[in-house]
Amino acid sequence: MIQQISQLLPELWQIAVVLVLFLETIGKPANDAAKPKWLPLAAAAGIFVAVFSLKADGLLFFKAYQVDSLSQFFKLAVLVGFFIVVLNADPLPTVESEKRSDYFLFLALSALGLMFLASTVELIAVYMALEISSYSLYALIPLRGKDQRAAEAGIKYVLFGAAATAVSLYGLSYILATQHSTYLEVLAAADWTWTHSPLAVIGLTLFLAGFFYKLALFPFHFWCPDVYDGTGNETAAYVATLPKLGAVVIMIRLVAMLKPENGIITIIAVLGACSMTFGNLSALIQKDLKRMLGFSSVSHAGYIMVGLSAVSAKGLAAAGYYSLVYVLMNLACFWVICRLATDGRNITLDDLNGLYKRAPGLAFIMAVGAFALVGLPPTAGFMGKFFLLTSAWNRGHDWLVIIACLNTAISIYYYLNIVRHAYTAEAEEPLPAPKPGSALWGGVLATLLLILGAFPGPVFHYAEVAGKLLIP
Amino acid sequence: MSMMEYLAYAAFGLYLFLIVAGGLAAVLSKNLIRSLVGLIMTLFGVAGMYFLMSAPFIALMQILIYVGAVSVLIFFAIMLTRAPGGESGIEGSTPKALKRGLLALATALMPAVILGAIIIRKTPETLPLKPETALTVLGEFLTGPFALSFELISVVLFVAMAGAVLLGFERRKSE
Amino acid sequence: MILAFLILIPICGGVLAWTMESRHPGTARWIALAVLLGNLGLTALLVPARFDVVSAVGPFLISLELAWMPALGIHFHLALDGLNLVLVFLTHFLGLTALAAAWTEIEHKIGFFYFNLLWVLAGIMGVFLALDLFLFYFFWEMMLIPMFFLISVFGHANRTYASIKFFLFTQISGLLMLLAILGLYFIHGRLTGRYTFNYLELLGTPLSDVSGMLLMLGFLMAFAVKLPAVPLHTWLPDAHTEAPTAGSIILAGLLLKTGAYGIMRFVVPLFPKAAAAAAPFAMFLAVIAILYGALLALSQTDFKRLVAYTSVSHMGFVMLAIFAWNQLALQGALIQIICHGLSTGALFFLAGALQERLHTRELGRMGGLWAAAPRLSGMALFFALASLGLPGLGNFIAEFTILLGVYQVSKPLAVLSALGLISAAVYSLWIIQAAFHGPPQPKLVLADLSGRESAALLAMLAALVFLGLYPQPVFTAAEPALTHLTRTAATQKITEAVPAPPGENPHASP
Repeated sequence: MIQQISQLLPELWQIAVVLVLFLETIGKPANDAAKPKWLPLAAAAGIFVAVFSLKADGLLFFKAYQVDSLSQFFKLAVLVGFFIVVLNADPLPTVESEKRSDYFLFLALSALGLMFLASTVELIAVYMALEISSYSLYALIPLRGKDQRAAEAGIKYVLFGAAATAVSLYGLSYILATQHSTYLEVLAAADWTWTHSPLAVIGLTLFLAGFFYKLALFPFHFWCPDVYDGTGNETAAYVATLPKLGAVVIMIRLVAMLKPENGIITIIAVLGACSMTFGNLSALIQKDLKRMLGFSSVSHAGYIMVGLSAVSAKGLAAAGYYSLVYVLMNLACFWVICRLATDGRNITLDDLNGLYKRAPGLAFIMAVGAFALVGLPPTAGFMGKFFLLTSAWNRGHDWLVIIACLNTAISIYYYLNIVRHAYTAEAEEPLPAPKPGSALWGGVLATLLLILGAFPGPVFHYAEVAGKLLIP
Repeated sequence: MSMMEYLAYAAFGLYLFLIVAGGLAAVLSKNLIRSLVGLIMTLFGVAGMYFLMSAPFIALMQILIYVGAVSVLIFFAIMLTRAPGGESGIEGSTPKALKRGLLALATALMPAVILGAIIIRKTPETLPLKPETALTVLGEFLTGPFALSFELISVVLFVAMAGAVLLGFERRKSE
Repeated sequence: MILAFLILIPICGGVLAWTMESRHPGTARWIALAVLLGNLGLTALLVPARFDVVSAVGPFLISLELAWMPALGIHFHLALDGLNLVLVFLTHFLGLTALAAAWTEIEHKIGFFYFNLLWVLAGIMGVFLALDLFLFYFFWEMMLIPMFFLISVFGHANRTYASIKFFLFTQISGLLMLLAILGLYFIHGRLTGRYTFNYLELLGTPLSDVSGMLLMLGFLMAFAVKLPAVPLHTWLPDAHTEAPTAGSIILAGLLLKTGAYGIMRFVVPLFPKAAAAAAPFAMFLAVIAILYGALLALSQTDFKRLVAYTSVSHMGFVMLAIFAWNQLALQGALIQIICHGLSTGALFFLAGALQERLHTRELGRMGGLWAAAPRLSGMALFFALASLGLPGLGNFIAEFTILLGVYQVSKPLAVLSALGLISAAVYSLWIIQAAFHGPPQPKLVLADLSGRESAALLAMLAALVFLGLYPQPVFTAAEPALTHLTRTAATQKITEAVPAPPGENPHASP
């Protein structure tokens, strides 16, 4: 029993955070405007708990819950992201003051769902964990004052989410019908070839659709730019980053069951290629920064597929590493957006004009974030992309590597545009300067990106160990 | 084919009709109350399917919870918030709308046709239908291998309810 | 460790310069100066008594190999031989010149400027020293971002367009090189079971004709854009013209040279067969670059643009020499690299100095400057003469040696490229005639060169004269390295690659 508790420490910590937040939401008087000041501290402590339990290992709850290197890696990533998102949501200008602790409650719940997702190895539990994180977002996304666009974004997210979930469940029924189990342990030993069990292959593909949706992979990406655009900046920072971690970890687990020559892998590779190309081409013409990042995340979902389609320990590790880096670099960009939008409005490229003069720190963070998204050394984005490309080469998807490179070339233009606006364009009218000291945590993110770019070894090695557990 | 099998097919057809017709009524009706009735019809059809698969307990639960509780709750919600009238401003049958409808139909039918074709061609082996699963076995399943899912559902419900409260309060204020 | 310090010191110095910006912006200059002088001193320590060291792997004077990501066969592998020692010296020399040019030109965001300047120098140093292909690519891309900032933040009117064009050209071609590097990595790994990016191990990887050609083209694209070779040169005039003076000096003097160095060090030795097959074509393009660049230079009215096009022409000589691939031509190419760096750097320096004083680069609006600023004009005359290849100066030695080397390979090309020398004389004298001679403009107040500017130019002048009269030290230094390169390329066993049996897991290496 004690041992089980020690294996679940990060989850238990997050549950405790959720409970305290819940008590606070029902306990405090309605006009109390203060946001929970202890939350950043608790979130930081969560990171330490997760680091402490990195080595935890075990199979719990009737073999439905696997605590291993992979799950602990992603739990740590989720908690790091949660910490940054909580800090990022500090002024929270668009959420009415009495709803702020509710806001954080749902943030914490969603992160909790993602942490469950990292460990569940039974498809129904996987589905439930996914729903925990989605339902929280359904409640969060429309919260943006009285903004009409936020309501629209909320509806879109719910409708698309419901449709994707339905497809996913439908696929689950096929898997259950043909393979007679929902446990990954059993499914991994089953035959997934098209000739033997075509329905199972269709079922798994449909089941993956739910995660494609979370990841905003083509053709399940339609919600992405609209939702980023419509919802509050702080919420968008969360929606754009952490849920992708959950999707990636499940896809890693599912892909690890398959043989490299399986048809599903080809589907994943093709969707990845479409996703990169479509996302990048659409991002080229965007003026709104959040929409641009939305399309950029569509294309990054495609890059992650490059690693998954390799179906090797290295490939899975590369996908894991890249998703971590993806979270960090997007959070860095959103950090700047949230600092600039003091009144919670959407930021266009022109709002970045003259940023270098007003706030050199923020401009630097933006530049590091953008260059990391392009994949240039010495940022972690380069290393991540490099790992992805090396892992996929010679695994039957060389064309995908070339498409990924071409897409990187396309994407340079619009990321560079961000940097250009921040550094060279002059503001036509003086824009308000952000508060001093606002660059602090963003600076930490930028530094992390640079450090992970120069010394990716330890983290990647850990990810590789995790990958080797799945594909020896 | 024995008599029982014919009856089973007939019942399957009936339930199928209930589900599809109810669903169409729920989506197409301009009157909220009629939509709700359509929804209830669908839910009854689903319950019938459970009966057909010799899972009477689940079927009863379906009727009890969805028809008995959820639908009534929705009914109350409609009654208490607004008049059960239809919304105006729905587009008529212009050629454009017709084209859009056809496209939507085609999009919806395409995966159904593909999946259906595959299923008909490669029917999975059916397991012999077991006699009714005892309640105790069901309970052991839910507290055994699926205990985690069972517990997680409660979290999902909590999130759904709390979210509804959060958004519901907001809506009242903005009106 | 000294090699790592050569790169680390500018990186740290850059960060330091930037952090000082808010309090003491002026100190950034002194930090940069101290960093470059310190580095120069360190490099001087590396100069050995003899260059022809006997070593199994090559004539490396000193090397450094640290594990970076050993699981992927990536090492932090730097090494120094005579060839890159010369280039590292050039880097420091031109770095100091750029510093002198920027001393008064850059007045705002000083810290950020020197941060970028030092980082781009660190990147260039890394490119010259890296012997691990991954590390090489890392530095190759790393020098791009600071250069982009140098142009886009500190450049002239049309800087945004120029900087984005520069960035897109180099980055996209760089991606092709990355693909080629990966391809080579996997082919080598599959054949030998050792997955490594180590240049010395990758040398001599047997390749089939097709894959060798494709990989070679991947590398060549990246280097040809930087060099620049003719169809890919269009970024260069814009970038040179819009960059601040220091940026132009770095671009012309160093960045272009990384392309030449890349072809010498990587393209030909790694893919001798493919390079030999492509050589006639490449040499033809080089001759076109020589003539076309000179022709375009003749029609320019903007001082910096003119000098930029002369770079295209001069770098054409370098490309011609490298693909001629004999000892004589390579020696010439190296001297040309140095002398072109010095003379063009100096011309950009002068263009910058004139722009600072006259606020124009239009040759049409100059004229008669000799009377107002005799020292400046005299310097300009000297470097223009150097650029046209006046005997007694380094450029003459370079071009003469190159032509001799090329003559052994292809007589028509040597003759054609000699035509470039004639046009060089025309455009160089046209600069002098347009800007400095002619009737003196009344009411023109023009400060002559300051002590700082004179010192920088005098140093370059001295170097050019020295190389023109006595180029032997450079020949001696580079000779073993160049011999080694030619020998590796020649003795490489050119066998058909045997594809691995199907089903073999390429990642199963120990």
